[in-house]
Amino acid sequence: MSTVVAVDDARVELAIYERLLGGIEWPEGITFVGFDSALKALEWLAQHEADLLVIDYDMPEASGFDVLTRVRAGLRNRETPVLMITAVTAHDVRYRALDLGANDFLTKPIDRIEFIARVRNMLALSDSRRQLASRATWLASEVARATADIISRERETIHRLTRAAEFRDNETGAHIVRMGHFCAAIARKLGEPEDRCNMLLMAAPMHDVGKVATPDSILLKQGPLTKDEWEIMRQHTIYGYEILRGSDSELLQLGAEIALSHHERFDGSGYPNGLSAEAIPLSGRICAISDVFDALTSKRPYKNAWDYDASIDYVVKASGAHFDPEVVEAFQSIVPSLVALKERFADPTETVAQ
Amino acid sequence: MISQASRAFNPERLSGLLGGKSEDTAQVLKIACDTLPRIARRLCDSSLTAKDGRSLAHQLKGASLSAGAEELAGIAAELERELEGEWTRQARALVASMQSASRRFLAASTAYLRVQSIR
Repeated sequence: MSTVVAVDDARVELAIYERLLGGIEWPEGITFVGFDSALKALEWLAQHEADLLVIDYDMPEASGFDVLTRVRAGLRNRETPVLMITAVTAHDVRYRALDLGANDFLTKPIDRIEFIARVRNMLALSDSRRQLASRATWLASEVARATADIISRERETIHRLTRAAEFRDNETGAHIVRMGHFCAAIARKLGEPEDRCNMLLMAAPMHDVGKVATPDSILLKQGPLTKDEWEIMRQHTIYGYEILRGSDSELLQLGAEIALSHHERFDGSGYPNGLSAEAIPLSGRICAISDVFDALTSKRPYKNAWDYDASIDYVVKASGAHFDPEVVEAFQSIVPSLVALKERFADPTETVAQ
Repeated sequence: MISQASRAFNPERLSGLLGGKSEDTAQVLKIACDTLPRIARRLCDSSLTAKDGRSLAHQLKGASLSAGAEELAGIAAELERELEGEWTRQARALVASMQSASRRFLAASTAYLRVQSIR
């Protein structure tokens, strides 16, 4: 149903418009709304959308120009076609009306055939505009859905690849999930923007992906590693960076940054680049604590799980040496949340001593 | 030659505008009978400013023309022009003759409506 709003201070004219519109055959019909007061019309138009406005130019309360100006400045009918009815044939009036956004004119006394033809044309214009807007909305929602699908698949792919890398180690799938949640929680506490925290949630699990390039003889060795073996082991940070770097994906870029920097130490004694303090990306400083805390509180073939107090104590004592003091402070203030995450994403057979 | 009666009310104009639909014509004519004489009477108000008088005359001109009240429309057009400035004796005379034209329109249109209802 198309809505035609007519604004004319003469009730006779409104009655004529109503009957002429009633005679137009239009898909789904035409609803006529007439106002003999410009101010009342403006009130209505502020609340409702119309498909066509028929506005008299010369009215006492507010001129057709005033109505047109306010309609175009409003939200609901800024693009609604306007047919201006005027007894004035002067060109300057028409130019001004066009400038203000009128789409067409009719001169009084109106001609029935001309009126009907112009109304039909303008309703068709309104219809096309609506269809276009509706199609644009549909397209936008389709693009949003497709983008969400791509992001979801990207994350799933990364998660599965990361799990594959973890399976080569003694780590479990739960470790990488906890890493993501620990990092996001600490970043949130540090006041990082929410989208950055969500990125860390997804990227932190990639920290050890470079271990796919570490030989089994070293990765799975039961006893202590030799100096040379440690050198090779440390290369996993660089391999991880090489695997992930150069991508257009922000997530993979962050993953590369974390892979390279999560074994750096605040005092500069870490690897692979011996960076210190702020030179280490914040993501790496956050990941360092998360990784160590999870490793300490997890059972390994070569050690039992530490209790929480001892693990927290270890992290706090390493503040300023291994870890960024500011990040340690944030970690300490959310320990209950981290413990809850550890329990929530626990390994199937793992419990930590309280 | 056009008679004074047909100038007071020319049914062809309104009927033609409404595509010959007699029911629509009758309905709009009733509205015209209700509103046009009222606007004409409002112009008799001596406290009316020339600007407001001109606006009323403009409204009466357009509505009368559409309704087929050609005589009334003609006088309203003259009055609109006359009230470009202030109220003049000529303007007052036009308002007076407008009242007579309004009565003639009412009589002619009422007669027309009566005939239409018999048909």
